Amino acid sequence: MMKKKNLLFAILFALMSTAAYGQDITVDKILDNYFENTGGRENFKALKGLRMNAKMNQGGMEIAIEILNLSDGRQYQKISLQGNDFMQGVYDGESHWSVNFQSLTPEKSDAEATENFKTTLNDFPDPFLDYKKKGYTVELAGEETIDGAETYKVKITMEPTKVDGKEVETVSFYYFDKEAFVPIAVDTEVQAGPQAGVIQRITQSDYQEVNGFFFPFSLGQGVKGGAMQAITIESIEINPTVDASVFVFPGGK
Amino acid sequence: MKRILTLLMCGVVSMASAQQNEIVLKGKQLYGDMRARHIGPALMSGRVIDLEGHPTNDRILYVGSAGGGVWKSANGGASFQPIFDDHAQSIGKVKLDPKDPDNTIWVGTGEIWTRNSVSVGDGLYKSSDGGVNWEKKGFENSERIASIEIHPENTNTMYVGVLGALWNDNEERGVFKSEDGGETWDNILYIDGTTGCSDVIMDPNNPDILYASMWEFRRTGWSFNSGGNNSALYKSTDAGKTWNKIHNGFPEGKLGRIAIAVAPSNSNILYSVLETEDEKKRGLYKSLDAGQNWELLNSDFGLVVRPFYFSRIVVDPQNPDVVAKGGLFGSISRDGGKTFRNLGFMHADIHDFYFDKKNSDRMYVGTDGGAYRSLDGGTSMERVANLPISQFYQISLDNEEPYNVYGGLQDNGSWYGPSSSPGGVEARDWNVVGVGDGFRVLRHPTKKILYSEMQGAANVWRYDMERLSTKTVQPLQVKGYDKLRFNWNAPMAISEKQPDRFYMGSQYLHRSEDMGATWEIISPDLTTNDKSKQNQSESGGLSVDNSGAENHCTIFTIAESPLNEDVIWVGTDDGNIQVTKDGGKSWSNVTTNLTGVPANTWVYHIEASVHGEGTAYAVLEGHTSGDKNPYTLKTTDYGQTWKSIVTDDIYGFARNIQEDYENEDLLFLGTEFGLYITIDGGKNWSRFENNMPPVAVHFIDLHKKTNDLVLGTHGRGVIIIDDISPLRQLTQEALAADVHFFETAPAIISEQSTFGGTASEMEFVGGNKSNDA
Repeated sequence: MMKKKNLLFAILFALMSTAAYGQDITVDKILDNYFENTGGRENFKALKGLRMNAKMNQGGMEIAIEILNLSDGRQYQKISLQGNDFMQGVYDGESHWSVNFQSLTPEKSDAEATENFKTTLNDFPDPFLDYKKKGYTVELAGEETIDGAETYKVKITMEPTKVDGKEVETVSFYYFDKEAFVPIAVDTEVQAGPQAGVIQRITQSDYQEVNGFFFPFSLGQGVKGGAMQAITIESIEINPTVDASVFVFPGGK
Repeated sequence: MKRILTLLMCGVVSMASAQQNEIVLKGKQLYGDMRARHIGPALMSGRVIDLEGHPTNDRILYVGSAGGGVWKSANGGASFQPIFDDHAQSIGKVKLDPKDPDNTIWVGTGEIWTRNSVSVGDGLYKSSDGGVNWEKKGFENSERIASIEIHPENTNTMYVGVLGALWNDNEERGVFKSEDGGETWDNILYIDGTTGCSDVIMDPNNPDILYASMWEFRRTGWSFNSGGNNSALYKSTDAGKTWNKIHNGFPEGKLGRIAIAVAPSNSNILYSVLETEDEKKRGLYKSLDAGQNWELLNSDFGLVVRPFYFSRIVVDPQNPDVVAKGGLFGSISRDGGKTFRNLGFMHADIHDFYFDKKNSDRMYVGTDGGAYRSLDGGTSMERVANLPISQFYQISLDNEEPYNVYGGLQDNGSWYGPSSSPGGVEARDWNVVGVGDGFRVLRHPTKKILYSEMQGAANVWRYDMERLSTKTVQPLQVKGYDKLRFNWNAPMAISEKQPDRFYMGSQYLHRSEDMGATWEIISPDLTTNDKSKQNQSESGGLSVDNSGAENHCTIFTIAESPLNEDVIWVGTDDGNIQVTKDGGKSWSNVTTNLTGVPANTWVYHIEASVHGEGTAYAVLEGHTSGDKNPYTLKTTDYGQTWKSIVTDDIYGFARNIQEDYENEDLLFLGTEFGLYITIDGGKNWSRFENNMPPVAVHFIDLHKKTNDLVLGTHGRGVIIIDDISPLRQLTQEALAADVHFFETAPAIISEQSTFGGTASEMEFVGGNKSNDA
């Protein structure tokens, strides 16, 4: 296991020092390496929950985000903005809801969005974990250089998403660094809304150890080829204790 | 130019023989072939109130706008043409005859989303020839018509829902029925003088079943009330003979504005959005038994926000579970109203929807920023690019060649653009110089600097047009003075004598000598400071709505004399006219010298004259207290005495006046229904009709170099009448002569490029000034 503060630096170094890579690499070997390098499959399967505290800066305004995910699918993101907390993307086992930024009242997501969300419940903590049991297909889709790093491009096809009542394939491309075998970018085509067809990219770097697991602490979110919004993870808590009442949809209707 | 002269001369000659004494010229004879040109802009467009489609031809679509008339598309909403240019431009409802939809069109005038700045309508109109000619069919005093329903078989049976007057009690309200195709009308549901019909709809599968929502509402210049014990939802099953409230499942207590819709594909399914006393009971109600019982399904903010502005529900014609509701962003449900999501990105403030009858993925949306079309069920939205229905509050000009027009718009920021441009004035020519609601934009007289603002002077920007940099410069509260009260449409003014001087008005007059960097208060509170008109935090009725739009007891107009910088006029929204002759050291309240004007009538505009230091014009208007008369007075002695210069020739209230710089008797008056001109100092007025719709003219400026008259309209963008100088020469002597040869300035051969612009075929392009000599 490499202990790296700065993955990108290491990747660049690796790129210069070795151009050799296995010709007989398979998707399962990539995933084996990935799970082994980041904490071990069994340990991931035993995870009960994760709490991440993150910060982002938008237009000079610092926004704090608490991201909480439990293995049973319950989750929330708490966005703290100018002294106010906004619960977003909350799932209580039945309803998916968010607080309206204008009225500060909780509102349920529309039925289709909730239905689509429910297809992601089995993706904690990682969609590649037991992907065959989930019925996902995973294949090696080539090799690509991402921000100077050589990567394996892995395609994963998950449960279909519904868009205006019609089923659409859900596909993501993960770019695994050839040296460290961790994904440094994830591309997903936006399926619904005015942005449909756009490729959304998430970049992941600065992997750090937390209780034997390795997580990316530096994220970027944006459109492939466009500007990225930087998100910095400040801390990650394994198996946090949470008050179950925070997930419950508080509104009447 | 030659043709104008010939026509003017013909008019002169023929009139001269008919009149012995004073010669009066009116209307089209007066104006010859002087013609207004429209330069838009259309890129931000303006408020759309109502959308109407054709029952069988999916290429035909109508847009009813807040202040810019009715527009028809024959290409599925790709582009639109105006079809209602001779009548009131504020529209509430457009309806096609179900049996003769190609020819018979009904238009109810008077917009129904009753914000503070709404225009007024003047009745119901019918066209029998597809919109070429229009005939008024009653409801002269209705002010606002919300609904028109026509029996699908017997089209002589019609129902009209009259919302009625916003600012005053009025009996012409409620549900009306005609059985002779609109010739005569019976009021079949009337509550009282403050309660109007906000919707009457017919069950599409049984024309004897009607639903009517009645709304108790009132605006004043300083408050708004939505709701009361008279607001209710009614049903009739006998073609309007009897009506019963259908409130089973509604909460107790007062109700506000009620939205109502029937699913066209299943008459048992009704949707209603209620504004209620109990905040927790607001939201979307659904009935599965044609109104016998109701259940609250959803209280999302997007459904309950600002009921006075957003109370339209539209159900997909084919699928009773697909429901769209107006709101800040527009909401759509695909599960029968249980859950909603926002529609795709559009200009905020969504007022109406239209689903294609056969293909619901094709839909249209009306917003504060024009009309949008979607091909994917409202997910991706595209704005119609040729609807120049922009709503200016004010305009101003500069001295560039060609000169630029500056102005601010309702919910559409502040802009400037050229009066002419190669290929015409198009979207790319306009520059945005402010956000929010825009009002006044003034160009510094000598520097490439302008001032712009947003609502309530929350921001006043000094904008460097070369460096594209901004600095906020609004006056702030200072020790020893009350909290500043700015109008929603806060006044600013510059000086002809001191280019860096900049005025703003709160309840005080603020003066800056350094382009807004520092300010000095140079007056006491110039308003009536009536505390009973300053409770905006309680305004709105059942849904408190304190946006600042009702702020009152504020200065509304400021004018420094072009002849003497120490003479400054101020007019207030609560009816005061104040004048200083010593640069603000002392003030005289000359309000009581006005004659024939009710107390506290809004002083909308004061024009300080170039023809005398003590000469000024005051335009007052009282429509926010229900008084639709025009008031325009002239003083030549600093306000000691005033003389009314309006006549019965003028239809509707007036907001603005512009004097001619050379001929004191030539005046231009901007009214709710268009532009009026006098050539005899106000003894006679004529409406200017040549390509000039009766749109609300909020501001007029006269360009000193070109003599172009430039109008800021609240619904049709910027309209220019090029070179009005021939009107200056229409004196009694000229009129009496057998032949009068007009003096004409030397013609200029333009060297502007003729390479043209970049607009697509579907974009609006404003006309250029004619180069013909």
